[in-house]
Amino acid sequence: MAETLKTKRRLKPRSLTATLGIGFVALSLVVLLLASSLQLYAYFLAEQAVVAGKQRLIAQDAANEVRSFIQDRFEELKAAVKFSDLSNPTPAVVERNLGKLLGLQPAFRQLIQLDVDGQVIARSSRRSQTAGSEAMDRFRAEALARTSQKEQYISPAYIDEITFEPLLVMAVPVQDIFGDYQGSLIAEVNLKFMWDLVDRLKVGQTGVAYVVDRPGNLLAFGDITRVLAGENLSNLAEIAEFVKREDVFSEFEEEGTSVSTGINGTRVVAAYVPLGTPDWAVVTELPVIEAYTDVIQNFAISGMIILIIAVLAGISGVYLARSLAAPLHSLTETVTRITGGETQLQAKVEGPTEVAQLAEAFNKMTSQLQILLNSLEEQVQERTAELSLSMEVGQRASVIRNLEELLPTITEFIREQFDLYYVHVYFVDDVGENLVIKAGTGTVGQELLARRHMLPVGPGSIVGQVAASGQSIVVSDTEQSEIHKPNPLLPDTRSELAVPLTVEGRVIGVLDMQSDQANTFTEKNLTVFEAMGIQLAISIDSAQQWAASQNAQQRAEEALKRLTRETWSENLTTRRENPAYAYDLAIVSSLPPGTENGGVSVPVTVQNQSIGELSVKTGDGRSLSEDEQALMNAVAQQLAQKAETLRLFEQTQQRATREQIARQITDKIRASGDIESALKTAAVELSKALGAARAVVDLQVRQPSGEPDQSQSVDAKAANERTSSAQDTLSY
Amino acid sequence: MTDQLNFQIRSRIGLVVLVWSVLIGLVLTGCGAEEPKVYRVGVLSGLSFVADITDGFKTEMTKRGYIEDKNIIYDVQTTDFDMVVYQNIIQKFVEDKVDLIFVFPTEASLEAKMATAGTGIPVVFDFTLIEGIDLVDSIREPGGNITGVRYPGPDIALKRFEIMQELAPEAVRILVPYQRGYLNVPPQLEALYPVAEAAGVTLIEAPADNEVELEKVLQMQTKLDAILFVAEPLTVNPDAFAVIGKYAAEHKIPVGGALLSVDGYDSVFGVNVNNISTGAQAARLADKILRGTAAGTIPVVSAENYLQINYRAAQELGLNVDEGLLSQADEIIR
Repeated sequence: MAETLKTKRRLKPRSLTATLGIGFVALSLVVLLLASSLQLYAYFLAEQAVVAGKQRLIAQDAANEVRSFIQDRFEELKAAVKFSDLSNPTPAVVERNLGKLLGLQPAFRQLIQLDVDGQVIARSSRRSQTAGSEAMDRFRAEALARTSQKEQYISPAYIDEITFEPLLVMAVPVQDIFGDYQGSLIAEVNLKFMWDLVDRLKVGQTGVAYVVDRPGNLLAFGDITRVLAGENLSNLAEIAEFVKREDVFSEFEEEGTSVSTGINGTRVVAAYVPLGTPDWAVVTELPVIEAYTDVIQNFAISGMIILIIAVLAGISGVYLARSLAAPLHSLTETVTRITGGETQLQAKVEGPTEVAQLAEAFNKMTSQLQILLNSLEEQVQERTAELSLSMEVGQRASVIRNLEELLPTITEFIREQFDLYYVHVYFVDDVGENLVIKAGTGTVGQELLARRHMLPVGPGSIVGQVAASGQSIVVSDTEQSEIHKPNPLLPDTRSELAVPLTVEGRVIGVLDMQSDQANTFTEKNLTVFEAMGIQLAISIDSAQQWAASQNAQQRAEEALKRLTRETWSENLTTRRENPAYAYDLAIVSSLPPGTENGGVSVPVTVQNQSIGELSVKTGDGRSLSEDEQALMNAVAQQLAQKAETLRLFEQTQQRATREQIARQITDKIRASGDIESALKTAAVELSKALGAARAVVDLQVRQPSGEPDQSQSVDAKAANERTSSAQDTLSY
Repeated sequence: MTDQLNFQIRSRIGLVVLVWSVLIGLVLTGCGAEEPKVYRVGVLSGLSFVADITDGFKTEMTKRGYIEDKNIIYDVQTTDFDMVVYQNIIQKFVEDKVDLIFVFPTEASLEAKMATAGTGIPVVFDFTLIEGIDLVDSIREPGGNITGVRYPGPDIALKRFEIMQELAPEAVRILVPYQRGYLNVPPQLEALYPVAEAAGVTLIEAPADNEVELEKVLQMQTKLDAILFVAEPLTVNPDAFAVIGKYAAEHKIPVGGALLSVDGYDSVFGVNVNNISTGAQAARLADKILRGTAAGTIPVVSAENYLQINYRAAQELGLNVDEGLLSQADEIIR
């Protein structure tokens, strides 16, 4: 899912401004970073040498300071010897001198002057006389041996057992004016007084200096507690190198510098300088950050410059992109507005050449689209109009039920509405072989109708092909058509369309339309005319069905009328009295047949069949009013209905009587044991029932009469075959 | 039009977001910066004779960046030798959960060590004799939560004796008054006795609880040649010293060991430590502790002897002060 989102994000289009801005920044960063990296690397190499040189100088200076501390102590001892009264070195004098010397230099903790035999002349101590001379005595012999050779002596550093402060012993020979050895002056020097000196050594801003002896023990450092703790620093790279080296100190030897872990555990540029005498080394450490401050500053400045240039490049990129994007935005806005319906809008041709060209191309495209759109609109309007007309044709056709009226009306209507040259309709004949013209416009149509013009279904004519195939044929331009055959009666025809009139998949005819304008009918408007053809076909079918139903109804009505007439004739004939009565304001009297009623008469009708009349004759000879006539009509109608009802009732009674008699006769016939008795019974009972003088029952097989139908012939033949085995006649 | 407007809005929103990012970054950077911690240091100045040790401590602390009332607050409690007061003050420091206790002299340091045991509050002592008492495991590794500046007690006692001998070589009966029961006195006396015996000097101990008792003790003394102070609190008490000074003046005998001047009575010399310097030494240790080093891992440092000679008083008593001795003096009163 996450991958999909990632992909989507990646695919999200970025704006031109952002793209160009990022591009400018990236390009400038790459170029600047490459150039700056090379330059900075070269600068770093040069600066490294400079830092190393500086560090060595600082270490040398520090070494000189420490060396001076020792040298100064020697000089003080030598000066004390020089200015001592050696002519009579009494202990008191020596002690006073030693006391003065102690007062002069606080680093001297104890002083002992020995005579030429090594015996103590005097001792002076900053501490009590009884304390702390053991360590000093340990180096006395060694010091004597060296000073007797008129050399100065310095012992290794050692630690005071009580204070744990580092000490050392220094000794100088005591010589008289002639340079003869007269004894030794030995001093115990407290190196804690070197601590302040070392602490004051300035190594950059945050660097440190310290002193170690040959085993790597810390002798002097700003943090005196580490000295007092007796810390050994031989684990540090620089100190380890000093501890391991065996060569003799060379004062002018240049020591290397390295980046290593310093005394405080941080990364430092360290350098050390061996002092030689004493056998110590002075180490200086400068934190890497400070040592390479210039490099770092240079890096920072370069970084800032790169950043500034990148920002400027970014701003330039954005500015450029915006200047490029502005016409694009304008173009986009124009597109949006055009999309919103302002189709006449034109994009501003501005900005860079490519963008201007794009705007021009866009304008051309919109113009062409506009033309196309207009054309489409026109076509739509045409189709709409045609559809409208087509619907109007359908509506007009649907209201005309008389086919004889429908066809000429519609063909003329189509011609007028579509402004056509000629329209006619053909119907397929009953056998489906020919097309018979049913309607045609104008004189040409009249002439063709008069001629009962016919065309065969099938090839040979456009109309015939349409009837055969059920598919419309469009001839947009008759002059270009191969299937169109000019009709001498219609010489101006330039475009023709024949659509089938189809009902329930059956082609009942063809609507053929002709125009004196080429391209009036095309494939584009074919659908409209086909729809119109379908509507027309439906209307024609509807009209035909309506006509058929009308005929059927008429026949039914006539039959009913005839039946009513016959029934009433029979009814009236069988009556004993003439069913005619008159009222003369006194009595009702029966009228003889053939009596003229005179006056106003209204027929008494049943099922549209007059069965008599109702006459009224006014005394004054006036005519009846409409109300009176209406009353007469109503009475006549009510009378007719009642009469019909009563007649039907009588008829029903008669039928019931007949059926009852028939059932009785039938029951008797069924009771007969053989045919003869059945026949006899039938003849007797029928005679009784009908009151006939004679009834005949005659069984004989006759040849049935009727149409010479094959099937009837067969039936007759079969009947003959069935009766050939029986007797021919049986009559009673 | 809408697109152009959106484009401009997006550009402005981008700019605003950038500016706010920078501002928020700066604010967060500022918020992230730790406020400087304000340290609280309890100072128990338990001996008025060396009260200026506190000055030396503060001065050095200031040099090291601890500005009073800015990033360090001192709760300085000054008193003289009184164990109950010491205990109360130390207890208050513990309850206040101070960051460090700076304490002197010896008895107060011992109280501080006991009271802070298990609290994690580091203790830096000064003017404290560590020999013979259970204050530190060793000088190099004091252990626990304590370190400090050692007072070189026995050696100073010997040095005082040597100088007294140099100034008054005829003195064979020397009175040694001291605070009765003070822990550091026995080690000093133990160091002194062999030397005194070798020099033919008789040391007369005079333990007392206060100046009244001391006066009585002095009244009982006969034929004293000198009075020598060892490092203890009674003799440096002004009232007690006045009693001693009066007695010495009446008997015209030198008083030495600690340099005092009370009511016109002066001691001849003093061998002690430089209070300012030793206070500064202690400050260096305190600095290291406040920077995160465990106190018990920091070696005890030793104070240097500090020789003071009241040349005028010596001359008034007719004492000969050798040039060699004068040369060694760190301070001479003429």
